[in-house]
Amino acid sequence: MQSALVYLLFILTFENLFGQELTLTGYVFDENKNPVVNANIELTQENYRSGAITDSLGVFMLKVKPGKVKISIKHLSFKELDKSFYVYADTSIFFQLTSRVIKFDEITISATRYQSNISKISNFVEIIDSETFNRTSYTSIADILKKAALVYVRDYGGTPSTLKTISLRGTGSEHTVFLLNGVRISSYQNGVLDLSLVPLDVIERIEIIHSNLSSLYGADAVGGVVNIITKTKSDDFGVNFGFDSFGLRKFNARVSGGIKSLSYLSSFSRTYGSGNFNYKYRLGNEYITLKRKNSHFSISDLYFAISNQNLSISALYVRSNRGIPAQVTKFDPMSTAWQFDEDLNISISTLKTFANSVLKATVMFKNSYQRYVNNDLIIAGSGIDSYLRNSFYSGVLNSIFKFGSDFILSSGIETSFGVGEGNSFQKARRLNLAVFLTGEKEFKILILPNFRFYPMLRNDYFSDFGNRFIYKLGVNFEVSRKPSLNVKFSYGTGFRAPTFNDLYWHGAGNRELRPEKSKGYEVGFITITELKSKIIKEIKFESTFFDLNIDDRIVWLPSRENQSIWRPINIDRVRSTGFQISGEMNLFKSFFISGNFSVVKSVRINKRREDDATHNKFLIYIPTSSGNIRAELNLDKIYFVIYGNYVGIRYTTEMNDRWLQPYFVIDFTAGLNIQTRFVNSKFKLTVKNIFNENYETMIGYPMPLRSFMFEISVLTNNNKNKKEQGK
Amino acid sequence: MKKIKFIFAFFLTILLIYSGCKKSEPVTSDVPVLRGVYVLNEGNFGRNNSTLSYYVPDSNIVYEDVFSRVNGRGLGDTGNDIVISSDGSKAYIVVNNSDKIEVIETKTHRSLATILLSQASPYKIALHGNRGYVTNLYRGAVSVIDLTTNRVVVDTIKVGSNPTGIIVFNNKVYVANSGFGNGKTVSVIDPSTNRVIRTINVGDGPDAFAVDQSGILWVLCYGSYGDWQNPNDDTDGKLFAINVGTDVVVDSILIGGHPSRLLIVGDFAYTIKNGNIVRINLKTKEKNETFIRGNFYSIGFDPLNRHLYCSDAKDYVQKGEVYIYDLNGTFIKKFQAGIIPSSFAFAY
Repeated sequence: MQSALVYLLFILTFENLFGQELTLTGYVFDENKNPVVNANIELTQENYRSGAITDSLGVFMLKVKPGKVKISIKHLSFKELDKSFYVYADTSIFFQLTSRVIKFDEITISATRYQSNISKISNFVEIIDSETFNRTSYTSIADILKKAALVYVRDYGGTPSTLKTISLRGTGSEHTVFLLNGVRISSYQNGVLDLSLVPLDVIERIEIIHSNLSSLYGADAVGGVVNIITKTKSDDFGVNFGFDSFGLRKFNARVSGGIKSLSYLSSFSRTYGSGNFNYKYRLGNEYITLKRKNSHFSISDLYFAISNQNLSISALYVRSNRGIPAQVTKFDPMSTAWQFDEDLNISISTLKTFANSVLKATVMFKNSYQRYVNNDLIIAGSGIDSYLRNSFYSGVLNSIFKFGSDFILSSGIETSFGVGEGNSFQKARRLNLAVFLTGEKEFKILILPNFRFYPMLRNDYFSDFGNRFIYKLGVNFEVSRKPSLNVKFSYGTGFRAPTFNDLYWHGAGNRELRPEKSKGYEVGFITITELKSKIIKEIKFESTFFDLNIDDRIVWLPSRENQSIWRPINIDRVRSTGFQISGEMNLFKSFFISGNFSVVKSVRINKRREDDATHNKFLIYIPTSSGNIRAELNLDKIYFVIYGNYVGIRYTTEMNDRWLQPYFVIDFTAGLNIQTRFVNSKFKLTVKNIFNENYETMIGYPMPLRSFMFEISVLTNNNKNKKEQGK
Repeated sequence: MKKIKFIFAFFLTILLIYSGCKKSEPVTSDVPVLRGVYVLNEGNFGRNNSTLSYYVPDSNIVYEDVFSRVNGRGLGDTGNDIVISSDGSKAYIVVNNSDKIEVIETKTHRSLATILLSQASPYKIALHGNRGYVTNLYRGAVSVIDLTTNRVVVDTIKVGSNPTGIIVFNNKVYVANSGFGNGKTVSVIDPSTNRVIRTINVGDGPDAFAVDQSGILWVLCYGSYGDWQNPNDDTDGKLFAINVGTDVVVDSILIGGHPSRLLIVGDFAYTIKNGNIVRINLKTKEKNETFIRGNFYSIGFDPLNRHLYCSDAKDYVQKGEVYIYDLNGTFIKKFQAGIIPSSFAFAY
């Protein structure tokens, strides 16, 4: 490795020349001579192995035997460094690592509930970290999620505040579970999470598991799981301001630091604006430009986290006040509807490490209140004024045992209790008790590729609809180590629980509902390669084919007794088959391209009646294809990002005779970072929808045309010159 | 000479007879024939997929989505009513969730005008001379449009909650204030002043009107749903008879359940309950609850051929069908329409 410079500096003494044990001290630093923290050191000698992790000064110490030593240094953000040399006395060595853009041994904590390498698990996982998404401007977590593979965000209004839901793998928005730091936050009330209410400035990273994972997370994880991981500490503190050409203003201030072994982080954000962007409306044969009305918003969130090595406590409070813009199937509609939301989320998690095992416990409490008022729809002399209040408690106790280097057993108990109350449904309660057992075992058989088995079992008891048992089996074959090529396969079952709305809505809820059942398999591969080529430095490519069947799907249809009342019933069978690819490529060191593309066929395969013409037709509002491309050029202090989002046709009728046209939206960001001794200033200018694409994700909810956003951050470092997150 | 005169007169007579025969041809073409039937399909609320189907009985051909085929744009969101002008040349289509009325030429289906009724949620229309009266579902009002200039002349005539059905009869405009089951009144508007001159109390949920051969105005009340949670507190659907001279309720007939739509032909009223067509003898008050069994959503009547057009919306997401019956309830034929066929207009 040319770029890795190894300096053998000095030999301290010759006293222990023929002794049994010597001390090897290493200093690991990056190209800028900053220490690399948390780098993983593996030492191999004849009949002897040991390991260490670098401390906050980038230092590690190892006991070695005299003779040949093989050292391998691994860190997510750097190229692996392997070095062999001879040691005959206590020795100190400097190692310089070379940064890399593509993370090779990227770690997920959501796919198995413990740390595992994304190449070595059995599912397709995408990880988006704050470093990546902070390079562009965004106003909602939806802006970040829509860049992932086969994710379609349905946006009811195009402002940061409007309801946005997500669809993974051609399923409905109620088929994805959202987790906050590993604990479910998707609502029992309606099965979705309003993406507008997720605070952005405290997100460390987002993990998206594109797989049926009820076997680990229980109800609703049919299309996949999105785990939002918040920061518990921060290296810097300061303020951030953002302005957009449609009147959006955002502000964030955060402080962080440490007291002895405790570190804390506190953040406050506010986003507000009129949301009155321009859109094009077709009147007769002409397009006219109109301004969106009643789309004002004001969202504030307050976050506080305190943690040490074994304990972490966090509290999050979100308050939102917003106008609900009307659907523009009509000319310039007037609307005065508004919605108020208040969410409080408190979580405590603790960790106890033993010799061969880890015990983790997390409890979370969530309380949400929502009020919706619409006086535009006058019914019997008055409008709609509805409220709902949801309290939700969840606790997970998880123990992970490691037997040797190739066998992990994880088991746990999950409990949750939810209460829903409101004026449009009956008071609802749900108790969920679950036990789960998962394992990971690596096999090496002769010359066959190494393979890992991932069996998963889970049993869920629900107080309102009984018991469900689910299982999953995953396999990962390591076909090649360098370049790495792993083949993944999994097969498993899952389910979705009927929501409180499905069960208890006034006059319509159906208490006879059963959970939806799902089963499916997926097969794919992932390869990560470092090339000697001067042009292409690193490549990562992942591809997956999946087939997912959902039975007893719950659909609201006009009831037999009274056709004007729609009621939910278990009626449909849906099959989603698709193919998703995603890749990253680093060119000329400073140029980085990433992208993904997916096709999916989501069809209803049952007949609702004998002469059902909608049988075997595509589900509505599921794009048949979608893709993203992102190109990033990093110069010294300046960077440029171009990002394109393509979404194919989405049928809007069950007959598939009407659809929304495909769209391709391109955003561009230019950023400048100026670092001085005390202050780090960041400037970003983003042009959104640069080519003025006129598009909708839901009929009648136009998305904004071209807009500009400018952001400025002024931050001070807590601990200068530290690299975080290494494993 | 006389002979010549005779021959001349003879030929002239022949010519006159001949030309007389020629002239009589337009007279035979004045006998009306049903040129076509417009079926307005609501489409799914909020999905902008309302369509207009045109059925030609002679050839038994349905032309789907004629509005957008001819005009190159969609009809809009949730078409609730279609009415043809008295001279038969124009059709007025009320598109509820698009807040507009589309005016088309019946010969060509070409759009003549789009009348925007901002924030009005227009629901049903009744024509009177060169005025159109439109109920505003969520505004508790009736708007008046000028059919010559296609402009709104009176924006708001305040009536009861959630007005649905509207009819012009005896030189007065009657409006059913449904309140979605919570309303109980019919408002009477004087078209000369465009003011409400009387409010008549009827049953719960007045929704639709029809006139019988003796000049009695009947109003269908679909009953109240009460507390949606409780099916036992619903009130029954009823028919109320209004004497239009005095504007007082003179009679009523219990239907039960929650009927919808109303047609009167001869002594019989037709409505839909539990999907079936119910026939009620207005004189004897006898009911035939299952006059035509089915899964019907709406009905229309072709007075020329005396046929009932009954639409089946199926599961509300696939294309519906229209069944044609004679007045004995004998099935004649059926054809496919669009999603949720809700309103009929017969072009002669």
